[in-house]
Amino acid sequence: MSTHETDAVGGPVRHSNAVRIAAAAIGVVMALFVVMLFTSKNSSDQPSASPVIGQQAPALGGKALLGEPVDIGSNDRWLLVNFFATWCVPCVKEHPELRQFAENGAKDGSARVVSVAYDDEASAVKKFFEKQGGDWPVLDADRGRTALDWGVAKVPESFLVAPNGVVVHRLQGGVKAREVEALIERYEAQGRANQEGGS
Amino acid sequence: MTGAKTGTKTGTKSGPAKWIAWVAMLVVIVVALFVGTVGQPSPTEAERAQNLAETIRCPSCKSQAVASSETPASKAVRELIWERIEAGDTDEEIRDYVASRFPGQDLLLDPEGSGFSGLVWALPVVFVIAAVAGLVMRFAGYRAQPLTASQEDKSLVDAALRASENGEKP
Amino acid sequence: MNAALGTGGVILGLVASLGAIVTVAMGIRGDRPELMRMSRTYAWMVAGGAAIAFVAMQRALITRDFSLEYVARNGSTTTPALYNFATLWSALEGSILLWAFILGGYCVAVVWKFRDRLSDKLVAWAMLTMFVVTLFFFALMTGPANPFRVLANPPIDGPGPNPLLQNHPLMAFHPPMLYLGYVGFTVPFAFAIAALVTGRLGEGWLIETRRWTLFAWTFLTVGIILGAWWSHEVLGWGGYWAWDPVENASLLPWITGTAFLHSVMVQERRGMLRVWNLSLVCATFALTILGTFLTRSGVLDSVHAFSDSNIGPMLLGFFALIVLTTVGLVAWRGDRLRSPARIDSPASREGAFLLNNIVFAAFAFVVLLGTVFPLIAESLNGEKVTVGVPYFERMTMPIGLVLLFLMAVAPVLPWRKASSETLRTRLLWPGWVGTAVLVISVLVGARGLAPLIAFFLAGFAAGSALRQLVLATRRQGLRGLLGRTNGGMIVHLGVILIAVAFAASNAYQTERETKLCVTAVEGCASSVTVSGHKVEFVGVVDNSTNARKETGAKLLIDGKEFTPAIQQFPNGSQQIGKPTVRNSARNSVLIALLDLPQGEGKDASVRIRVIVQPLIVWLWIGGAVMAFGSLLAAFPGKRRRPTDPTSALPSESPQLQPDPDSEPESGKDAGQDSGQGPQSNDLETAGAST
Repeated sequence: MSTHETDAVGGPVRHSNAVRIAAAAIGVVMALFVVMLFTSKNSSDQPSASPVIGQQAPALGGKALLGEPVDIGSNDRWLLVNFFATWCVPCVKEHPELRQFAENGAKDGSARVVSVAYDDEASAVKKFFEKQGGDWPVLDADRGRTALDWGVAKVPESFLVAPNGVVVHRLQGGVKAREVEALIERYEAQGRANQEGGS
Repeated sequence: MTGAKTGTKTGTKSGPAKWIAWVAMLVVIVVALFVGTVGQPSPTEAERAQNLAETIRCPSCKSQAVASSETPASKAVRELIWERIEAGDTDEEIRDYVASRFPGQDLLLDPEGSGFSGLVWALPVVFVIAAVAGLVMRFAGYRAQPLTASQEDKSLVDAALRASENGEKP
Repeated sequence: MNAALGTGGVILGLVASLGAIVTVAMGIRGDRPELMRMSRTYAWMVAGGAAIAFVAMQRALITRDFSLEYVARNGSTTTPALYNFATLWSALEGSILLWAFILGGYCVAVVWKFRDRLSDKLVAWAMLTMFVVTLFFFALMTGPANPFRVLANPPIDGPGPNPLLQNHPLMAFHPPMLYLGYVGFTVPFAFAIAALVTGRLGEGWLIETRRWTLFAWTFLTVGIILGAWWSHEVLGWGGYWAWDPVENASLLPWITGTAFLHSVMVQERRGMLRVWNLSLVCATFALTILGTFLTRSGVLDSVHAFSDSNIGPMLLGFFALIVLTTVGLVAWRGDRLRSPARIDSPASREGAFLLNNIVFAAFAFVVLLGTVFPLIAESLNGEKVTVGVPYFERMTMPIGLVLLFLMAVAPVLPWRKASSETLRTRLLWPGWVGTAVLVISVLVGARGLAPLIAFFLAGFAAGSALRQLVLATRRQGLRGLLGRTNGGMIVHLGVILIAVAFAASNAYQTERETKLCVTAVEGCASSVTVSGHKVEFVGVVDNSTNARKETGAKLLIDGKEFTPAIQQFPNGSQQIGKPTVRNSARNSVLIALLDLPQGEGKDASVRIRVIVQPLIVWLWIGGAVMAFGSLLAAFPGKRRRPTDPTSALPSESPQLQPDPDSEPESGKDAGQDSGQGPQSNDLETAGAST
């Protein structure tokens, strides 16, 4: 970068350097910006943080549309609370996985599923379960209050509740039976480790 | 109002009489603004609820406010706002309560002024101050070197004048 | 057949772009005019390829060729003709196709306009840049955004486009207008790059591209306004601008483009702000690409993101390429970009333009920062932050007020330097217009500090614009409305209308939700009066077609019949509201159904939302005025030989010693197209300074 150039009137040219410095600065900022955009995750698969994790699960206060109402924490099984809607395409896609998970869970008595219908009609929900199968309880969302209490952003969304009634994991988007089972195993192993460490 | 200020600031070399029209205008503007702003009733509960609903994002939508969406989640938030207003909570308490259900400040459409999210408020102000300061410095730099005709310029002008007096094209 | 035709078109475009880049580059390198002139043939081939692909897609849509994945996903047998035509741009792949089609059109227009100068290196470099852009878009269409992917097992029917995109005819016009704007900024960008590369950085490239920029800007303006209109008519919340990422993405290039249209005058008149203008042109183009990335890659949530895809990395890479090229070239040419002139006084036309540019830059900064801040917070701090309407409204309100103030003061400022005498006399009349508007607003019951200041400044600015127009027409008759300065004043009037309508409709909206019954019973009236407008429920009507179910409520608004409805499309079980709006000059009554009408005949009832907003219709009228003004601005004003250097004209000299009677565009200058700078003919002296 030279400053010995002179302009027509004979004054020193400081401008060209200023332009170069500014260009370099903007280049660096823009490069950082691009790197940031490049590394930012797709908004639909954000990490599943939630204030309800680690807390006692909020109540499921909605009317039962199918099956019996569920009292969380009163049984010794893992519970997958699934928020869904019949009009939501990923929900339809995840349904067979939920069925798989519910069947496995019922077989060995380790886990069960409860669904909360989100912004939906009772008749549509009944038709949906007739067509897609599945026989676990389905509740309505208590005019949206349940979804608000659980902090549901958009369906499908599922929460894994430990047998003691504490929410341990939030799954956004469709679930896979195998993944949820792996999660349960992980948390159980963790729990055992904690107990051993504590005793 | 602002227009009148520009006028008065830039000098009064022609005597105060010439500014009478502007002073009259300023008086009219101040009176009109006074009439138009004083004695506003404080917001009703419905207005408070509406204003709050406009700053809280509908949890199941993308960027819509709960005030402008019909999803069950929005209706639930609106009901919650009403309950809390009737229970006597302040606006800030209600916002914090709703926001606490979701990670971070995900549900607040206007980020808080403190902490990292305060940057979104502060950076534009810094930007404007820096830009104006830069401009002022440039102007100051120009002022420091007053425009004077160099000897060379003067001789050029003289030559041109002589040429035109002689009826030639410059 | 359609797939083969379309893919053929895309490949033709891709190959032609590649061929053009190689040929023109060789032509420039070897100084071979015959190679550079071949860009004409290539431009036609690129445009032809895009046109073939466009026609193939339309043909597939019209013949309901569901073997194409795009048609299967977005078309349906029941979609009416107009919306079926518009289905082409209802999803990502089709939008890219529309983009390429328009870009092809611009390429042909450029080679036609510069047909005699294709071997000029400046034009050759510009064409090269344009072909790089076409290459990128055709590459998108052969890769991640292929509109002609074929399905092995075609369905017999598709779901049709998103319901929101097929319940208002404006959807057929808003996207093409917007794209004509976005894509149009490629031309000035190409010339800016060419000017940087060739080093011919005088005012030549600006003058060549001035009307192109104005053209693109006008379409972008119209596109944005139509989008706002669509939102107001369709979404049923009385809103028209939600500061949504997609809306912000269209606003950002508009802001920088507007800034450029102002600061370009400073460069043409005074030769200043060269780096700044080049940066603005390149930023405008880069922002169109960035906006497409932000809204199409799924990094940001948006209510308008009608499709997701994996074209993100390519768009981001292209954005990075544009930015780095521009920054690199500016740094390389920094020494030649030194402006030969300086500003004498902040109280001058160029001083006002500088301030205007700072404000516009701040505007763009606020919009961009607010749009991407959630991403920044997430990646730097791991925090989830949402930035929405309240933020943007609070931040842009002062910006809007300052802009209105500048619109009031700047048009009366002379170039170089203004005296207080000039300001005092010239601003008096506009000042009284503003005061009158303020007083009238207060008298009709408008309250609140911010809206009242907005009304005052709007009146003030309108007074200034009118003053300029009156002076110009007094001198030249109706011809005085032509040219950039005076056309620009008409654009200002449009902006002022929009600003007033924006302030008024935001501040004085009345909203009521209520249940109406055909036969009034206890607790359910048959009519409601909101802000003096009577809404009466008459009955339920069924307007279903085989494309959709539609149940409407027949209502009388002030005696005139309207039928807001709820629609249900076969593919989704979600109900879509179809509100109605009754517009009048004073205010608009918007009615949306909250849910399906209950009961039949005399027992029917319905829950409705009534929103009364003042002055809404002036938003759309303001948009039309802006478009009309830019049309007038595109015409040359009073003619002058382009070789006349304006800054040396004797008529300029009185402005050096300000004279209260001389107008900013006085004498011979009045209303003319602000002339060319001293180096206006550097294009003619081809290759002088490479």
